[in-house]
Amino acid sequence: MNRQMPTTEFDGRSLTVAAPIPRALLRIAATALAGGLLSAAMVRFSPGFGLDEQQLDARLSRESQEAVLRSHDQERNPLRFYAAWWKRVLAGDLGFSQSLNRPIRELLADRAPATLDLTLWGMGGAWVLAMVFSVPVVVRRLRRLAALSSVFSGMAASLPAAGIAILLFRLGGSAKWMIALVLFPRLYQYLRNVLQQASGMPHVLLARAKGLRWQPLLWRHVLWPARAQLIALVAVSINMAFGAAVAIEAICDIPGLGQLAWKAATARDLPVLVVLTVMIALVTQMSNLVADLCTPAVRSQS
Amino acid sequence: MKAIRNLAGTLLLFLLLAALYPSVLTRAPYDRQFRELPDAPVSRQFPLGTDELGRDRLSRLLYGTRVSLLAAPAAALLSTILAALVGGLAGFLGGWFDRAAVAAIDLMLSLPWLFLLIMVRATLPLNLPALVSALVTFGLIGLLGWAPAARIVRAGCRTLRCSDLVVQARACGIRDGRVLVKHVLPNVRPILAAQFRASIPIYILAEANLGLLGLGVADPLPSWGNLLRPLESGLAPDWAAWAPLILMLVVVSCFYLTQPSEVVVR
Repeated sequence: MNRQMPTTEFDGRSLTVAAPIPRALLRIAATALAGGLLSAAMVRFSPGFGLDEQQLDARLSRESQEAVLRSHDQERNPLRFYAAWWKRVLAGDLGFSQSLNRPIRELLADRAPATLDLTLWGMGGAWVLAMVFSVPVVVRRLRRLAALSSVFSGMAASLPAAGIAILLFRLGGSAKWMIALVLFPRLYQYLRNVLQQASGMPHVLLARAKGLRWQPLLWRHVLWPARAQLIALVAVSINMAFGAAVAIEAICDIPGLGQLAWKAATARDLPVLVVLTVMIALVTQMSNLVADLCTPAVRSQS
Repeated sequence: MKAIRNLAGTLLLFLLLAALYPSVLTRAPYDRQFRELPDAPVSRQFPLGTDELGRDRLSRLLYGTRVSLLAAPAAALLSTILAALVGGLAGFLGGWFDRAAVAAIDLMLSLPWLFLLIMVRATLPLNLPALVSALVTFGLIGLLGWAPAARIVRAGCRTLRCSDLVVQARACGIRDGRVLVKHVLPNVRPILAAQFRASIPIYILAEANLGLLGLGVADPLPSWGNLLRPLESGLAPDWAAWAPLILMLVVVSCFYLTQPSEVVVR
């Protein structure tokens, strides 16, 4: 059966997409909603939820103690909390962080630039490193460089993100390089596999046999046909970069969203955790959607 | 390559034996405090020195290795079983269960794993007894690590659902449950074995990350995560304090070298 695939406009061209966009957007919204509800329920039912160290403060009056207790009342039922939270979010209020004593909107505005800067530079560094090591290995077939890069990426993959952060911190390295080093082994291995597949295709072998120089060979016949996988890898690396940022910002005391996530988790700050969960789920899913939108179109053009 | 794989396997075996029988290399128990010798330098009695509480670093390193090398495979087994259950049923049954499983997998994969681990671990009590905290930490890693494997198992089972052997088994009147257990799951066993092997080093690193952030195994039970914590403090550590990181590098590299080179992106 020959089914007509739906099409959409992207970058001025008509693209074929695997699933209609509204359905994909609905799926993304449902995933983010479920993620937020799950985090709210998890924190709510954790042992010791609602206890506040202020309750131990003997200087507070009885009324103040009761007020402290009442401050958690609206969070007791996670469903009610979540519904009320969404109502406030739709009105433009993200809530208030009790552990950091500041509105969440302000916290996000203050901390997002640091994380954005860190992850973007880190991702850029990781991509540059992965390209620098994998392209000559695949195109020029340099065996020594292949062995060296395998050892380097293997060593980076064998250390935890927090361990890499400590190591580079002690050596005076930048936090951006920490993210780059955490992402590098994953990107390098995948990139090398993708490029190896592309460079083994018959038309590449023919171009090589005809004596085509390696620069046009790389751009026209290796990287360009592999762009669908590369776009998908960019989407995946956004998620990986934020995961690494959590550990690195916590270790290096960088006031970003990763550190906020760690602080909110250890303080069981429910409103902050829900906001971060929904936000991260949305960013990841949206980047995957953009990659999905590009991928089938790229394949159909290749 | 085969020689390197054999060498890595032998080294792993040697380290496992050293971790299981630490008394061969050191006499001191991991929690004994030599109070007159805090922060002792490397010596014949203490080959890696002592920590700030006067505990033998070598002994703690070997016991920490035991915790990681035994608990990480257990966590990997737990997540593989969960992946087989969820992915197997979703791929084989299809319908609403498949859609629900895909949604759950999407949700799990849309959150960075470390963020998810930190969030869930922080919701549980932190002042647990040491052994319980180790069980909770690795149990949690196993419980939250099923999603990537489940997606691959689901794809394998979906392919098998339409295969000749399953159609024939159904035509013979065999019930769905039996078809799944007897014909489908045995055929995805290589996928499950590969996922199990690939998960072990990832879980070792996850515990180390949690431990470094203060959410891992509790003192006095050593683990690679909490042994690395002194490196995070402002004081300049001596070279022996880096031993857990170096050992972790060696062990995880050996795990990667003993398995086929596949990328597990998390």
